[in-house]
Amino acid sequence: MSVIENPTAARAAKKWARITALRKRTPVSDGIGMAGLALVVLIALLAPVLAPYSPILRAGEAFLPPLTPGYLLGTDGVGYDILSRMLFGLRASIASAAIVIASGVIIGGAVGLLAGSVGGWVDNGLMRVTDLFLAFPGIVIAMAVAAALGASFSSALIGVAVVWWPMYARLVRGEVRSWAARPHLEAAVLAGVPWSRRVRRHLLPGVTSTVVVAASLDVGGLVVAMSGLSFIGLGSPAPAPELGSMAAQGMQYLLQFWWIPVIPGLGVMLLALLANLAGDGVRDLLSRR
Amino acid sequence: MIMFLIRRVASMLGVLLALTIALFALQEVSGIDPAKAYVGANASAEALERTRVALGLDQPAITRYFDYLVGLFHGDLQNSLRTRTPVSDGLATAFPATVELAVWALGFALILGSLFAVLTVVKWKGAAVVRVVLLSGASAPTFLLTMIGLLVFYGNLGLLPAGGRSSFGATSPGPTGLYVIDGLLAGRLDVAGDAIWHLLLPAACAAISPAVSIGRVLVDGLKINLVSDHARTARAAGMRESLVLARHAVRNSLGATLSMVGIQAGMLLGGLVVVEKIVSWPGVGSYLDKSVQASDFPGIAGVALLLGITYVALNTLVDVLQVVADRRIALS
Repeated sequence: MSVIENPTAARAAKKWARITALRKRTPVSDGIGMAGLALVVLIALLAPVLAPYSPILRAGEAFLPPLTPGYLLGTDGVGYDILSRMLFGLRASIASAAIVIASGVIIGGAVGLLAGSVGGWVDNGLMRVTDLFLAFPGIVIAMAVAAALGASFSSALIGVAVVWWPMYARLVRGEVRSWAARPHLEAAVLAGVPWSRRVRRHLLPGVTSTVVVAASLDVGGLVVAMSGLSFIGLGSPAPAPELGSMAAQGMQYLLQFWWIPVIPGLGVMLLALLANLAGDGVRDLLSRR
Repeated sequence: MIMFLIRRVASMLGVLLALTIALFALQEVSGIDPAKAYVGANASAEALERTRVALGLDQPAITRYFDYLVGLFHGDLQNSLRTRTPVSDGLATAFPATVELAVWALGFALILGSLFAVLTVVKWKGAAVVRVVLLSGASAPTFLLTMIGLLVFYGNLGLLPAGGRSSFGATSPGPTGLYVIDGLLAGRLDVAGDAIWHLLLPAACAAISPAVSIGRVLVDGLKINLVSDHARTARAAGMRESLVLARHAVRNSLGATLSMVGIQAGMLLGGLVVVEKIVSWPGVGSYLDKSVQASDFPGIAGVALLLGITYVALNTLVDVLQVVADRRIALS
């Protein structure tokens, strides 16, 4: 029996069996979501190279329908090329989602880690503040903050970031508390391992996978929420290519030239759907350990 | 129970106080001068200065905050920079329209969510289709759903109106400002029917995404309860599966679902802003949209405060209802 004689081959066979089993148990949609999202992100990153026209200069006649030669998705009421604007709009959506998630994870993670690992009045105080933020209707507060700072891309980001971190703070604090109660951390405390080392070596690695799963499930909803803000005018001002504001500006043509407002909406939906499927995929991969 | 009520209401007031502080601070940051709202952009410098003193704007921030707070208790939300009239007047006419739309949307969300959950749990054959439709609906921004709804039901089929709230003009025939109820109260079935006809599309479009979230929580609850010991015992005693579902699973899943309904009410308020803008619904959302276009911060802050109060009060109500349903919660 060659397998028994050769331990390396046995290990490889075992690994292969595990991968096959994993593939069987993982829904097809996970793969579609991850591959699709990767593709969209790549296309969006390459927007300056791929876009046939400038997103903010007239490219041709107005109101050209989709599939017109040279204008794959048609042109809008001004004569901008919709495809070019979509590519840049997707790029803005992806960038803003990434920035808000990153800020949520960093701020919320820091608050949660501090509250959970120090405990006592620090925990109490930080969680009171967190609960206060969670008690408000987040999207409405985001609108107020963005409006107070004046409509721009960065105000919208700040507005949403202000309401997006508390969820992560709650999550991280809960995880940290449950890890801190485990025997190996009790042992670490008794052995005199300092707080900073306990956090770095034991608590942080423990919460990472939970946070990654939560963050990846969060992207789809965030993309949709931010497009809504842009739709009511809280985002980059007029000619800048943003999916929400493109739809809002095209709304007046809805009944005659449906593609002008509908295509940007479909772009948001595609991005959110892929992100949701990919999020499920990340969860399926990481929660099976 | 009474102690719980007192605690809950006190924390609600604390949250609302924090909201006023936040909005006041934002107004400071925004650099908008409320005095200009009174005198207009073309007023002389002296007139502006006089108004500023008259409004107490030369006072330190703490004093002004207390003035603002006292004003709030008197229903004063400052003047809109856009209309130059009190924000409270504008919101007073807009709020009933939004309440009516929100109640219908929440109703649709509950019906759709429950349907989704029950069909999934009883493994009905078409449930997969319902699931795919609802999940893609949840990934779609509300503005896309509303626009497609308009294209299909107004543009192509001509079944539903293009927008607005009523074909009978903007005055309500009754005291509540809710057209359906007012129409019924006044015995005007045509008015009530017309109001419902106008409500269907915007309410349904705003309901989709909350419906999916509510449905998911309900599905999780039902699945856990259907394999629980008491459900198994009931089955062993010969109870029909439909009764096990109705009596033992649904009831025990209501707590978490109710919490989700409270959370989703907040998301719904955000969605309504977009829907109102598209169908020209004369509610708080349209008011907010116009305020944003005109960079009218007092208008925006008024809407945020009104929606904030509504949301916090609603969630307090949800908490109290949960205690009514299950007294053990009050003790923890």
